[in-house]
Amino acid sequence: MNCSEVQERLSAYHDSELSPDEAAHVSAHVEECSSCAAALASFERLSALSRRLTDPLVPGHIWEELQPKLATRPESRTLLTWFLPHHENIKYFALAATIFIAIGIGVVSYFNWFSHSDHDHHLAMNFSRYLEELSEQPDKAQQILLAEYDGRHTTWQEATHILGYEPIAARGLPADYILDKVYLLNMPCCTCAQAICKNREGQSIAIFEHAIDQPIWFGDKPTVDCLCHDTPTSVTQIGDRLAASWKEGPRYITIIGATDLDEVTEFVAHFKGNNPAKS
Amino acid sequence: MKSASTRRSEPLTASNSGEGIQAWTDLQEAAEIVEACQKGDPVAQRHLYNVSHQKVYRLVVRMVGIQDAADVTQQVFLQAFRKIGQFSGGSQIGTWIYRVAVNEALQHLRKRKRRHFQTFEQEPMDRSAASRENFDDKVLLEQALGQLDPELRSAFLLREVEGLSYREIADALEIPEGTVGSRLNRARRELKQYLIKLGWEPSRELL
Repeated sequence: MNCSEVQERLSAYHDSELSPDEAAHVSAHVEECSSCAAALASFERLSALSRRLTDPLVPGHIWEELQPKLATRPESRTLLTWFLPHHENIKYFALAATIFIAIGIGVVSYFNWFSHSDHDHHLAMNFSRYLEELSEQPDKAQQILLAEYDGRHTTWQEATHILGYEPIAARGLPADYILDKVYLLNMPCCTCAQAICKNREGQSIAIFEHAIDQPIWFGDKPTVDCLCHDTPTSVTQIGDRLAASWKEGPRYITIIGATDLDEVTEFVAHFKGNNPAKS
Repeated sequence: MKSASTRRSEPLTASNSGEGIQAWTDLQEAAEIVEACQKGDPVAQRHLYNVSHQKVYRLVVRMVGIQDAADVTQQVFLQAFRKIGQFSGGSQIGTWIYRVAVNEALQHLRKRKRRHFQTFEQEPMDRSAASRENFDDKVLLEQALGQLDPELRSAFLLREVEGLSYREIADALEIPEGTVGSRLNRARRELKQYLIKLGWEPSRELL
């Protein structure tokens, strides 16, 4: 091979994309040709420099802005309107609500995504009402959810059957937290299983297990991102209680009604231990 | 003199973020996720976004600049999910998403060029020795990349940052595999010239 032929193949040689025979020819030439060797050395230096590039931080708002655009696309409506009544293409997310006399653990299942914009609007509106009533009238808050979404009493077994997976909270709660009730809520576009539990002080925490993070539940309330049990967790102040959301396994968990970050961390640590994929 | 034994054979990835990369390379999972995305499954869409958005964003940042990167990245995924029904499985889903990303970035650059003759590259820095000590060479590379022709830049980034093979680069750029090497030759030679003009000292990189 002459210099021209080697130069033509220099990147492919550098990137190990040549056949063994061609690579041997290039290698033999480079051993004897200082000019081609220098060119190859410059490629290596560029590669070494490229390896030092660092990833830019991805803005968190990209998905939040993308999600509603995906949900409203016309072809999606057509596809899913046809698809959903005939297949078990149930989209899952979990919704749990806490009231002050109880701990709620909820799992929401998406049955229909095509009306997601309407879903968002109604969910945000109803959730806002729920949060407003939660601190003063927890029973009323719970009734809002039950009334809005045709709630009925259920069991973990039934919820598991409907959702297609066992909600992580069904595998056990943190020590001193006792399961009280489990509900199913029929929302306009999804079904929600909600469990009500209590701790030893009678205080309550709401836990939502859902497939997609739902910052829309908390509107424009300030949210702080922190690490709880080494898990990235978003924490929002709801009255004198905290709401917290984190990713656990394939889904997200949101709790509402925690007294402080220690209590949030207790739940994060507990559910991490309950999730075989993470343990 | 150069020995063949020092050639690079492993794919390069600038920074592997464990969970995402692992999921990305799990082809069985990718096939299931793609199928679900083709049915409009929002959970699958979120999953595909989770495992790919960092790669897409870092490519887009270096293609169009940090100011427009978020908007273009969002457009990449919007187009990807709208067109994913056209994905036949002939290539890997990751390569296909890179293709969408490069196309959207090039389209964005063409629109921006029509609007105003302004590129995102930064002004050349002070090349004095004293000033040079304050800059890492990787900053110079970012600058030099901004001056490189976008089509050459995309080939270089897909190889050096994303670690794609020539076959995958050919799929992503929709060019014959045989032209990948020549495109990378041009990209590397031009980048080297831009870097030297910016004050790069190549001998420092092999330490």
